[in-house]
Amino acid sequence: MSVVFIRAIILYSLLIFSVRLMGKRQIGELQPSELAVTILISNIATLPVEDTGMPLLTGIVPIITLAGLDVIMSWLEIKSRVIRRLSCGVPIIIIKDGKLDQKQMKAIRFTVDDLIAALRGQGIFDISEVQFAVVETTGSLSVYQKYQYRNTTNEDMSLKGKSKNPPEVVISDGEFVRGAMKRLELTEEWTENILKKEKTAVKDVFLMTVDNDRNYSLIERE
Amino acid sequence: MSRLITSVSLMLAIVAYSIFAAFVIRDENDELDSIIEEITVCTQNNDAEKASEAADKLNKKWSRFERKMSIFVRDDKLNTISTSVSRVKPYLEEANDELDAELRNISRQLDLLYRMELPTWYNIL
Repeated sequence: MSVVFIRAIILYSLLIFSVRLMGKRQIGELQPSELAVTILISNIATLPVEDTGMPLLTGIVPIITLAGLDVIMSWLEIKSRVIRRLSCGVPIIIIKDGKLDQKQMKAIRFTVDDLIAALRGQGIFDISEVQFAVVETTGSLSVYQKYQYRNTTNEDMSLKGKSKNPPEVVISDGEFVRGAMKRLELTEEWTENILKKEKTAVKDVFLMTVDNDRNYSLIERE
Repeated sequence: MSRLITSVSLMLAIVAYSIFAAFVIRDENDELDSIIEEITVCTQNNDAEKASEAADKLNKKWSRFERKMSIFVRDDKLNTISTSVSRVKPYLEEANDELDAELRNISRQLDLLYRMELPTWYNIL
């Protein structure tokens, strides 16, 4: 039993390493090649855990190979448009100028139900509101609404104001978040002064966020 | 870029390790084969004492090799050879007719173990 336990720990660590190696892309929506690698890796990882007669290497080697291939493939996709098209395919336009392209929908086996569900997922319940829609290589639908149905923007309203970065977490659960402090060019001294003013200490802070203009928000630990 | 370098390095390490493993298995196989050959010659010359010593050597050598091989090869394949190796000494003592067949079987299994590690077309398919 201890062998299975230790093997599970080793393979768990290896899987985390592999997913980290493959990068953030792997965690979000998957491209076809990434989906294949993810399914394969998850299946391979269970084999040496279940079967103690199987050498651990027979699990480790293919996992590293597949993760490595995925990274190399991603690099090749960046370098070559042809490879990208071969491994990921191309986005398919299914609504253009407000008109549904039934031929394309048939070609990619995208049903009306799929389309309506994807539109509903984007808060669109009437297909006549859509000007342009694309089925992305990940299978998700991107929609561009007709002018009259688009949300009003600040620009439309001629509202003035400047774009700002959102506030960042500088204290999380009683600990400084050094990366965010560096980005905001904050010193510990400045933060501690603020905390003094608020009659609290770093260890008592649950969450503190600060923006570029040094506006802050503070939530104390209960 | 660092991810790419890590991936390529890891894959190269795997290739290097595979080649190294194949050479280790070949060398060990050669040694085991020479011991098997020694046993065969001794039995043909009716030198029971020397044959028995060689059989002990074969057992010891195989135990060490088996431990190494368990990193690369499934248990059941090694167990088959282990069973055959463990039969050699009793067969020698009994002067069993099947000794020669058993020795050939061990030799063939060892050869198979090595061939399985080679990236040949048949192994891949």
